[in-house]
Amino acid sequence: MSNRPPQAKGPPAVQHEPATPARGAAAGQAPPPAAAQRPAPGPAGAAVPLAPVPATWQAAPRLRRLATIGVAVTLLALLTRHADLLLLGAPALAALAAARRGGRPGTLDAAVTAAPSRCFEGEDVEIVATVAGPVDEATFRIEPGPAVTVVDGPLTQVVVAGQPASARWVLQPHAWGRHQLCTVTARCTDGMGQAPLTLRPERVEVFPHPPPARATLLPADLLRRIGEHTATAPGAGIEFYGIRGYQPGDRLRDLNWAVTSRLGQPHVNQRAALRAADLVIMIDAFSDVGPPGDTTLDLAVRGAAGLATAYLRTGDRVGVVVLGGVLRWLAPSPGNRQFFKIVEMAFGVRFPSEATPDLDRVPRTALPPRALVVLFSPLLDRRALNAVTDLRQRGVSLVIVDVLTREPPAEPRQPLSQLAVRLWRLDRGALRSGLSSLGVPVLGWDSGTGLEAAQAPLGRGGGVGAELRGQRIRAVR
Amino acid sequence: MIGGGNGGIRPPRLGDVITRLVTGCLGAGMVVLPAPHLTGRSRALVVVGLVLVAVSLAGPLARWRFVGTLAAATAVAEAAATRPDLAVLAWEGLLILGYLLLVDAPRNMPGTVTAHWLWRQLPLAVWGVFTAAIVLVVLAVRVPVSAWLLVAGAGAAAAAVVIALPRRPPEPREPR
Repeated sequence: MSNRPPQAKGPPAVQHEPATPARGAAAGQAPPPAAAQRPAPGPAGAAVPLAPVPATWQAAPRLRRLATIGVAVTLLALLTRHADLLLLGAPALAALAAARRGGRPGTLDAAVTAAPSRCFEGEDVEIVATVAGPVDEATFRIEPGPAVTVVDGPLTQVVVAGQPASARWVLQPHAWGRHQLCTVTARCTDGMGQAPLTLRPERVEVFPHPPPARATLLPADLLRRIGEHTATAPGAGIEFYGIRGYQPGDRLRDLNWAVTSRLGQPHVNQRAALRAADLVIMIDAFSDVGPPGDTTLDLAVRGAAGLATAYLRTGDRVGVVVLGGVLRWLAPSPGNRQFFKIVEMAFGVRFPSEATPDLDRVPRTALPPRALVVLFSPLLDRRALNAVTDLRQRGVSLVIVDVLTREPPAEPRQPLSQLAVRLWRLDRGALRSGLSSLGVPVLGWDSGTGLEAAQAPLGRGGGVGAELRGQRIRAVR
Repeated sequence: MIGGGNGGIRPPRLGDVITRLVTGCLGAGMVVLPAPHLTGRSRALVVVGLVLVAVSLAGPLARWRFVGTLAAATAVAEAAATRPDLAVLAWEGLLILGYLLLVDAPRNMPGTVTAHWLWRQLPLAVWGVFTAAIVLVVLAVRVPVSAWLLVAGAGAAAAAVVIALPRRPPEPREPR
């Protein structure tokens, strides 16, 4: 019995206002972030709202340099009693005197904007810094944040006598979250004075890039609600379920003429019912290891986004439970809006805590009995493992996706270091074996591949797929 | 006009190369001009000056702004040691001014921005030439050296510095 292929619907599009679905993505694939429509207001063309920024004027390096040479020469001429040495410093002093002077404003109108304010990982965000004021020269320098790359525009930009002075960059964030993508330093020079300004744009909501995934894992008992998954019960679906004798009330179009003519009795085809499923995604936020933008938590949230996209696309209900310092949950719900609710909940998972979550606090609506639970975890924190044991004791259908993709670095010249890594591997193997004995399959997933590849072993009979036998989970291809 | 640099990742622009070349020539000129009159160990000042000029234009120490000041100070020391004639001193002063003005040029500006930036430096250079000419004429006139002249020069220097220093605008009065 095969599952119906997912409909050719894209993921929820990122919008400034209520999200709308972006259609047209290939079936069964998570849409590329570029497919998500960005209705960002054009920042370059639009008027940038400027705000007064306090300016602390100080002597420019040129003033110090010219003054140093001028005063030194004058002192030298005085000490040596040779007036002709004044010729060395007179031009410098004249340049100092000729520099523009006068009252400088205590505040400069400046702003830096980031557009769009919402995007997916890897999408372009345009940064525009503007300074409007009586300045001769403005030097803008951008300091991109961690896991942010500058794809267009030099880091340092100089504007001479621009009114207003502005600079533009295009950044690409590579880590989800609510980030301040950069800091822009504007050094405004006016005559022989300069004022440094530090400008920070508004935070940008960067949504995780959903990897390609399909709704191939299903709980054995599907919901009564109509959905797109082929159930193991007869109903008004499309897939062939079986043949039975004709009963009054059956539609004539369901008659199986071959069987009827062979057996001499009327027989009809039965169809499998189409039902929906509940998926609860658990994110282990106790541990977060790895380089910025590619940590285990980054990977877990990306995987959660991909899985949520795949199941929401097929009309299933998806919920989320975050195992972190504060136990948070979102009850399963269908629809594109749920994707944004899940991601916005994930935005707040990064903070360390020593608290141990009490899964009893999760209400029944957030963890329905017949739901399939997928836990994204690096399997590093004992509290997460305790939660797994707790869930299994409750009879919850559970699959773990291991998001720890890096081994501890081993020093090649130190045998003890390599031995430690071997012990670490053995420990991980024992941990996986222990989880398997609990009836919890553990899938390894690397960010370089889609979730489909990680789910593939469950569709086969042996190996990891054999672990499903003790659970109320089935894998469909 | 907008120009920019990205910390050496991109190749330097032509305008930037030309600006640095001109700055290097001015710096080398201010160091080399008094060199023929140097004797003995004081010739080491030429080497030191040239190295400082080179360092102020390229290399990891270029962002340290005092390197350019040191290079100019070396040229002043050379001139003070050799005591060349007035014309050489006047040229030396102009070369020092040109070097100090251009060594501040922002890096990696496009050609048009560089030209605009150079154009905005022109008034300062003109004032420098004008002042050097006046001082040259005053010194060239055969009069007994007067200490008052030196004092007046020192006063003018101090006044120039005070005038050019940036000042805060007066705080607005509180409304009564």
